[in-house]
Amino acid sequence: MEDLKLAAGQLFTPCPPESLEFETTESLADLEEIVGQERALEAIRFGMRIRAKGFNLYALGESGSGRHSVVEQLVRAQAADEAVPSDYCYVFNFQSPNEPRALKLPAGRGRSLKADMHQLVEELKSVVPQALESDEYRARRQEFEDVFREQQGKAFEALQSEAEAQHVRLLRTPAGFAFAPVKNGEVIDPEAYNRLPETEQQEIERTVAGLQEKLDDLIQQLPRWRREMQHAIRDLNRDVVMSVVGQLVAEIRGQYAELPEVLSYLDGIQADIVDHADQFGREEESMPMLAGMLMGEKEQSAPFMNRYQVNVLIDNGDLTGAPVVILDNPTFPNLVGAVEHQVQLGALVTDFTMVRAGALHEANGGYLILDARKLLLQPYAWEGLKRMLRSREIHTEPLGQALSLMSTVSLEPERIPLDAKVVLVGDRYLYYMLCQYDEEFNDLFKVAADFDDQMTRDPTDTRAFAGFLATFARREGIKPLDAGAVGRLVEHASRMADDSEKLSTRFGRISDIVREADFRARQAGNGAITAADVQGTIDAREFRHARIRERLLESTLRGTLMVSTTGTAVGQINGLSVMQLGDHAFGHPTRITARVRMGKGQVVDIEREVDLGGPIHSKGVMILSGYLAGRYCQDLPLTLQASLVFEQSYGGVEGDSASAAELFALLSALSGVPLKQSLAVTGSINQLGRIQPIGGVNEKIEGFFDLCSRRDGGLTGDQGVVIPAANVKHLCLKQAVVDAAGEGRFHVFAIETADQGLAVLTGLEAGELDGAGNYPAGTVNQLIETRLAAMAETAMKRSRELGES
Amino acid sequence: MSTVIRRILVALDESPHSRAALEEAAELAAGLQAELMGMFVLDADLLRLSGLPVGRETGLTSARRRALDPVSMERALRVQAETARQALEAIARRHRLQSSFLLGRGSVTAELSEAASRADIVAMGMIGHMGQAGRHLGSTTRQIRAHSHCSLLLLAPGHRPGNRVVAVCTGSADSDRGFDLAVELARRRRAELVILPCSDDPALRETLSSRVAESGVEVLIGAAPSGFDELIASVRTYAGGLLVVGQDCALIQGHDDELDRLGCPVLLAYALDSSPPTAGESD
Repeated sequence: MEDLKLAAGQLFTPCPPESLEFETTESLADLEEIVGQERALEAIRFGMRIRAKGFNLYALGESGSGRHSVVEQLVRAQAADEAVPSDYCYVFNFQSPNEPRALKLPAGRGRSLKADMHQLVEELKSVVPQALESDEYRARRQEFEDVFREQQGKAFEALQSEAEAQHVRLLRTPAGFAFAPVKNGEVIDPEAYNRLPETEQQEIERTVAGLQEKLDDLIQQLPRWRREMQHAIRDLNRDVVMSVVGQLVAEIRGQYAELPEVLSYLDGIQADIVDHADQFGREEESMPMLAGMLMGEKEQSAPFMNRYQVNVLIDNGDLTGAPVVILDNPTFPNLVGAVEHQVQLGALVTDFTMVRAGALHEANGGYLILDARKLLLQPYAWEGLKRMLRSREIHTEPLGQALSLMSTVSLEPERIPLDAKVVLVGDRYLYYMLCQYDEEFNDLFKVAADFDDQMTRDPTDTRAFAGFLATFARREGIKPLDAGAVGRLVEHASRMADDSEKLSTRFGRISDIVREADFRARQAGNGAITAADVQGTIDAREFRHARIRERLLESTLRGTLMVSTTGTAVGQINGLSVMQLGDHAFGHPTRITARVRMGKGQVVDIEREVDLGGPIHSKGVMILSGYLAGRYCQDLPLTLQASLVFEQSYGGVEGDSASAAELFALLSALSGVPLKQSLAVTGSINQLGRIQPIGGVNEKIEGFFDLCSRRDGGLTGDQGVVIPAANVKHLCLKQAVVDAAGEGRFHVFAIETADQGLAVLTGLEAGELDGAGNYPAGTVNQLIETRLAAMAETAMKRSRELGES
Repeated sequence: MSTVIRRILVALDESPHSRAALEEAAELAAGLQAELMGMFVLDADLLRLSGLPVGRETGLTSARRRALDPVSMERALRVQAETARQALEAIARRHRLQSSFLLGRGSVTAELSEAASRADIVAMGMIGHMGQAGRHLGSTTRQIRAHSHCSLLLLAPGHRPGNRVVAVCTGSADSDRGFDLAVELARRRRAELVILPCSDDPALRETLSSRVAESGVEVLIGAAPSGFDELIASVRTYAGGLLVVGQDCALIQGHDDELDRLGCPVLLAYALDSSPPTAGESD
């Protein structure tokens, strides 16, 4: 049994400061590479270099593994060497005002075009009205108006003269014109008219009717004459305005001669200004008033000149490489941009100047980093992103319009070609879910960068780990770490990985510990962070999270939760469970009991019967039946009825790490041999009786250790934990346990078989089959077999008696 | 000689000329602290026409023919009258003027002539063509000018802005009255006065010089225009905001239909003690 007991040195693998070959991290160079993520780094580098369609990245790994910072670091390094992408501007579409036009310009030229257009409009505001106020213009315009007036006047005068010659007068009525018969210079009175002879009345009727025909013709002519005058004035406006605008626009054209898109836009502007020359000078005429109050600038209706503005959607003028955009709130509009609106007198109005860029616009020609979970949580953001990646175009549209929920006319900005690499950073389960359930995912995100959460604890990686700490300390401006602190962090990283041969790569968590240790070191006035600062931090974090653990421990110490740590008992054993509360895990012993009687060969899992046991736990219990059937009385029917229960367990039980303990409780109940209550057991068992490794071994051991050491009188020297031998390499126990084990006050037994466990727990030999197929007398197995055989015989006897009767 | 202007009468109708006349008359009344009288006449000719079987109008914008009836015509004219009254009151309030509204019924010329006898100045739309002018405007203005004994302010919309008062002086009684009014208006408006003597007669110039000296306003004496076109050029050259001319001035005789070419309001002055010209003279 002593050979199963682990030495103190096996419980913890220290990292002595002297093994690190430096005094403080100050003497270490900055780490150029990312530690422990070769596979992920290779994938990211490949994903960034390849420009083919669909080769976007998904960086998957555990949270706190530094995925975000690593991805950002690599992407920024790559982007710095790439070309600065073009600017994009939205401008007014003179052919279709609802569909703003996108202009692509070399980086930095967008803002200059905006300034040039602003300057042009300012100049036009003074130059065009001046041209339209000139004597030449006024004289020519007056000429056209005079011609119209004269044409109109002469026609009416001629008609009036013709009417008067026939004793009829042309009168202006409230809505038009009418002819009235005149006698003695006055319109004939109706009574006098009625007294006229019928023939005279008929003559008047005919005269008036004839004149009215001519009046109708004349009135129908009026709009044509007016149109002719307006056309003549418009042509005059065009000539006058063209002479001033042409010169101003030509100056701007010279600056953009190599950009045909801009030249075509300038042509459009020139034609539009000429067509709308009358709008210049109106800007200041209308004083916006509402109920006698001056309206604020924003409430005014959009001035006509707005159409000549340039909305610089993307200004890459200040970039030195490709853009890297990290979008923290990936909503649909934040991704694809939005068409904003202004409230004017209760109505929502918009124009191309209110088109706002989204992250895809900003990252175009570069990289966009998104958190997968945040993206998937935003309504329609994921679908929107996929649509853009598939079409390789950015289509800015209101969400309601994208979903066809709105039928109102809104802006439909021209689509902009999309050439951005999207990097999603997310959890593994999300990646696999997307792979399985989203058919488009694999086509659009073809590169997976899988971040490992562990790395090997060898001298090379330990040095790299120290290098990471040195780089981190310098970058964050915190104190350097001495070798002791680094050693302690290496040990803690092993504990985080739950493996003495591995180091955790959850550098986010490790960084937090270093930051806190730095705080402690500064409080203590240390020049560097020491092992004591790191240990203090670990202990403090443990303490901050320990409320529930302490409550459980207290309940056990006060006897509310019944767990024996001394003496022996039949069919009763201490199992060990781990509770995971957020980031913090701790172990706690639980009493497991077993009862047996004659029955139909069933082992009943009470947890399962009441739906408190998970499937893996049930599987573990069922394996026990297999083990019993294969190990004992193979020639006799198994007539056992056994029940197993986790006492005082009111929550769910999952996992098979208690199956070994359950077996020992069952075997004790069958054999009647008492088990030592000073020991706790963890480990799963297979049908052949081999003990298999389990998770959380450190927390479990420490959980039982804490209970034993806190009981009155402290550790008795008999107490300890039985663990699978396969878990020995995972041991990274806290110093108190290691010290107690070194002093022989606490023991950790590593077992490979059920028989070894029985021997440790009962103090008796388990017993091996001899050549005749019998277990030696007095061994536990012999007692078990005897009991099972007796049960079988009794059952058979009963069966025979029943048959005879 | 008294320059006191107590009442200014404005003939109101729906035409833009009438609106322009109202605006300018209000300015003038404010300058002279006179009462603003507005008159709208329910035209007897129209009322009679609407009762005739041949009473049909052709809409100016719709070009459709409609039968007229007395009730609708009366209602339409009264609506126009009410609109005119409101416009008068609004503008009087704005200029803090005393105002009164007269509603006549009968011959427009007769009614206005009768009202003009109680006014010192009548403001009317400028003589124009039938197609663009107000109802009866051309003929009415001619009639008023021929028969009334008061000064006429003639206006058309779209006059160019100008601050100077330009007065044509011939030495006649009407011209002298015009000079007095021009001096008064220039003083009230704090405007520069431009005198255009109608001949190079040294006696006229001497008289003018002494009267100018008495006026106390800043005066610029320009060259004598020899015809209507030169008068137009002079008014433009001096950026005239108002031309004051004796109604007997030879320069404007025979140019009634062209007064709008002057580009500014025209005040045809009428001497208080002179007898009205005959219709034949005015044409």
